[in-house]
Order: sequence, then structure tokens, then C-alpha cells
Amino acid sequence: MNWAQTLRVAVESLADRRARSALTVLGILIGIVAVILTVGLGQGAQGTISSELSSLGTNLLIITPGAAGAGQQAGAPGIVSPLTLADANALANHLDVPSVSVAAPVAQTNATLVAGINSMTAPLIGTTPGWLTARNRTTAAGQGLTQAQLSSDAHDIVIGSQVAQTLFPGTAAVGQTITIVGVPFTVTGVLNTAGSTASANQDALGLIPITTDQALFGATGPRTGGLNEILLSARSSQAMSAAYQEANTLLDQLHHITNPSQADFTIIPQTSLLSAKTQITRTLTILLAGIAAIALLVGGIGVMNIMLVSVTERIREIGLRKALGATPGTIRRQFLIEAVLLGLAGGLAGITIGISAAVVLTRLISQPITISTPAIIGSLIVAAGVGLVFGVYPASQAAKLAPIDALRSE
Amino acid sequence: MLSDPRFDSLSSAPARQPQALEADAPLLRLTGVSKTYLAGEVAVHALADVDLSISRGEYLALMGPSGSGKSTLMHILGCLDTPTSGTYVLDGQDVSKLDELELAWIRNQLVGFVFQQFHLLGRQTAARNVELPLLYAGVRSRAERNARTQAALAAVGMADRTEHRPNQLSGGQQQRVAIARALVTDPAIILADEPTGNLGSDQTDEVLEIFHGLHQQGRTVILITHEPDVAGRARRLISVRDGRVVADEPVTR
Repeated sequence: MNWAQTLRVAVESLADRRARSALTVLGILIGIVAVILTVGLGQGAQGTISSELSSLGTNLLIITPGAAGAGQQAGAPGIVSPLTLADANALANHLDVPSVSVAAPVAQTNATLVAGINSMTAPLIGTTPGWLTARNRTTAAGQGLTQAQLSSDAHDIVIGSQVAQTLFPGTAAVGQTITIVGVPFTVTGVLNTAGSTASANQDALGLIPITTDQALFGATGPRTGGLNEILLSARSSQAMSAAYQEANTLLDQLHHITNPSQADFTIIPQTSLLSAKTQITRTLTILLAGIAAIALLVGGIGVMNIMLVSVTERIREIGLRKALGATPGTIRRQFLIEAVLLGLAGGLAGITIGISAAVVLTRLISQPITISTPAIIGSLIVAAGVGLVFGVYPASQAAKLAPIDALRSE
Repeated sequence: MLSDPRFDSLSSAPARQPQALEADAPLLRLTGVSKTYLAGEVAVHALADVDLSISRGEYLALMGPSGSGKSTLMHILGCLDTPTSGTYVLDGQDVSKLDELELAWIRNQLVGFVFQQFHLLGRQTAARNVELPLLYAGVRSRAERNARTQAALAAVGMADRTEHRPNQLSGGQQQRVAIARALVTDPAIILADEPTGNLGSDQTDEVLEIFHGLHQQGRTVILITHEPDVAGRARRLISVRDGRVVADEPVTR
């Protein structure tokens, strides 16, 4: 009996026990759906993180005030940030820190931006032209901050795309005026859309020259002159650790720090933050996928169970087939194919439902679920493999039956 | 006929040659065959030291009360069961030395079984039931399988019922389909275990008529029965009691 004929026999005998076959398939189906969704969620989260990585700038180092892990927050009431504009300017000097290509100070306050009847509250960042390089941003209209604006304390502002849409719906933003705490600013540029990351909306912000920021808000603002952070961009990803060392040494000098444990600043490579995030996501995905795998295992045991019942039930049929010339191999193959078919059916149904659920869930929980082709092919192979593995024992039981014992059983 | 490549080596094996050379050698020969079952702690001697020779073309009835061992004897003759001791030589081969694959080949090619309960696959048509041994024989050509299936069904007078399922057929018709299934691989030996046990007298006559025809064609027909009428149609009568052959005589009519 060849494979096609055996397949036909297997399909017929599964169809004869329709309800039971369907329930067995359901077990596999649930397992496959669980695997597809958890793996898809994990891949989706990692996709988010890597897009965040590229939108934040890959060679980015962030210097924050306070010792590592001390939890000291710049801008917290009564605490003066030890990071100063002088630090930022020193770090921008290539002679002392050759591995750093750009150093940009960040002085950030939330401010209400008003244009006519429209207004919105967004982070207002006082910085230098280097910010755009460090953050890997470009302008869609006008231009970014310039050195000229910096030296002249210009009342100019570069805004994110969402700010432009909110304040100037339907009109070009460049050249318009935005009022902040009663001070008029001229829009000189609009940034390209970067999208939201888990940490911040990258399109709702305004950039003003750091000098203007210091002059207008520095003395009276909560920061009293300090910076929230300094962004550094290393020349290349290979230069990251050199840049870290150079910046560390320079700041130690500037802040008169001899004991590194008393440093009043922390340098964090952006990638290490994200890799920690990636690590957490991966661990969570593995955990969830493990639970899903257990569901699949239970489904597989269901296949074995039903196949064993089937062997017992069809003991006379097996005996008859052997009396008519079926070899143990033929019988084994028939039962194996039945088990694999159950697994495959569960896999196919599971993939269909898994993909539909991914589409629906993505909308409901606004968390991307990535369904990749390798994942689909993989789950199909796993489903068939589960049928195969859990079909081996029942099939060999069937093949081992002596024809006479099988025929005699009533 | 032997289209399955697995069987090619078997069919050309030297052991298969003597049948042509020694046509008068017995087709089946049992020597000192015993069969003991363990029913719990008790050993049941289903067959005890049976010697029996059956030649090609014989029409033979095995008679005996239930529990006499006649069914066990038939199962051993048909290679469905193996003796506990003694030797059984079928068509020149010592059956005890054959592996599962070779036994499957014998059951497929050399022996056709007919059972009291017909043992048809209930959800398959008559034609599909009859075709089954050809699938196990590895006959690849669908046209050939169909032709042989139709021929076998026609030989038992069921040519007009090929697409019926067993539950659409009478007992006699079902048994005729079962006989067609036994015949479809053109086996030398037909083994029938109480083939008329579930049939009325008209249907019994029909079925026995078919067996008579098979005997006329030169096939070896071995019939198990406890009905003297049925046994009377055979040419040789063997009586079994308590696992022993107690009488072996030609049928006089």
C-alpha cells in the first residue's frame, strides 16, 4: 500500500470519528495559537525596541546628574543639577574628547506653547545644533538650530511635527510666531516625524537655543542653571567605550572628583538601556512561550490518548487488515499518518486563528504582534511533529498486534 | 501479480521453486503441531501433536464441537497464529522460520480467508473491500486493481452490487463479497471459518456452490464447520476433538 492510499485510509478513518478528531485537533489548536501569540508579542516588543534604538540614535551616550542608581532627578525641587553648560561646551571640544563627535546640552521644561487660539503643552528643550545629530533627527521644513541663533540668543524655535499640526493646522508653520510665557518665538524649522517610543513622544517638543533658554528661564526656572542631561554622540559604535572613558575623565576633572564612587554624574550608553529592555522582553517571551509549549504538550498527549483509544477500538479492523496481508509497517504507517494529520489540522487551524487573533489583539491592546513566516512554518512543523512523536507509541502498539488476537477479540 | 518490489526477493527465493518441480508434494504439512494457551494459571492445550498433510486441490472439511481446536488449527494453517511446537511447512517453506513481512506476504498471496462474521469494513463499498488485499499486495495500477476487483465480484455473482455498502447487503451477499475479497489475489488456498454459520439455508447453498466452483478451478478449499450437511459437500472430512485429529476419511456420498 503506497503513501497516497495509506493517506486516504487515514483520512477516511479520521472522518469516521469526526467529533472526536475535532476535539483532539482543538487541543493542538490551542497550543499553536498560544505559541503564535506569545512569540508574536515578543517579536513585536523587540521590534518596537529596535525602532526606538534607531530613532534615538545608535551611538548615543547620555550623561545624567547624580551617581548611578542614586535616583537623583534633575529638576527635582531644591536640587541643583551639577551638570552645566560649561560641561557641555568642554565635552564639545574635540581636543579633550576625540571620540565624541557631538555634545549637546539638554535643559528641559514643560511649557505651554500658544499660537493664536491654539495651544499645547510640550517639553521645551534648550539645546545646541548638535542635538539633531545626537538624536538622529532631520527637519521637514525650514532648518534646525544654527550656531548663529545660539550666539545671538535668538527667540527662534524648532518644533516637532505634532506641535506644528496642533498649533498651525493646515498652514505652514515656518515663519509663524509661538508665544511661551509671554515671550514670542519665531518658528524656524519643523522636525521630521519620528514617532512615539515607549519612553516619550518624539514629535511633541520644541527646541530653542540653550543660550536663550538660560537667559529667559535659567535664573527663575526650577533648574536654576543646571542641565537635565548632556547628549554625547560617539564617532562610531566602535568608539562608544573610548568616548565613555574620555567623557568620564574630563567630567571628573571639571567636577574635581578624585574618588570615582563619589561622581555626581552618570554616563549611560543608550544601547545598554535598550539592551536591558530587550533582555527583559526576551525573558518574558521565553516564559510565556514556555507556558504555550506546555499547552502544546498537553495537546500532543491528547493525540496520543485518542490514538490509543482508536487502536483498542479498531483492534478487529487491524486484525482483518493483517489477515489480508498488511505488514506491521503498513499498519504503523497508517496510524502514524492519522496522528500527523491530527497535528497538522490543529496546526493549520491554529495558524488561522492565531493570525486573526493577532490582528484583533493588536488593535485592542495597541501592542504590535509580529507574525513572521518562519514562525508560521515553524508552528506547522511543530504541530505535525507533535502528532508524529505522540503517534509513535500508539502506532507501534497497533503494528505489534498479532492478527489472531486482534481478530478474536470481540 | 507480485508487483510490490519488497516481495520480489521472496518470489524468486529457492524455497519457492519446489512447488513446480514436485507437484505431488503436499501443499501443507503439519508435523507434531501443538498449541498451548495460558488462560490465567491454567495451560489450555488447544492442539496436541497434530500430524496432517493436505495436497494441492483438495476440498476438505474440518469438523468438531466448539472448543475442539478446529479454529486454532485453521488459524495456524492460515499463518494467523504460530504453533507452540512442531513444524508447519507451507508450500515448501517452514513457516516458523519466516518473519512478519514474509508471513504477511503469505496471508496476502497464498491464502484467502473467509470468516463467519464476514469482517467487511462497514463504511467501505463492496468494491473497496475487495480491493484491499490488492493494495496490500502493492498493485500500483488502478486500472488493474479495478479489473481484478470487478472480476472477483463477478465470480461470486456480485457484479451488480459493487458500490453497495455492507449494511445495504444481505448476509449471503456480504459473505459473497468476503469470498471475492479472499479470491482477489488469486490465492492457492481458501480458508473458511464457519462461512455459513450466520446464513440461512438458501444463502448457505449459494455460498457452498461458490466453494464447489473454487474447488473445480483447482484451488485448495479448507472449510471449518459443525454442520454435517456443509461438511458433506467436501471430498475429505477431518474430525477434531480435544485438540487431536480423531478421524480423517474421504467423504462418501
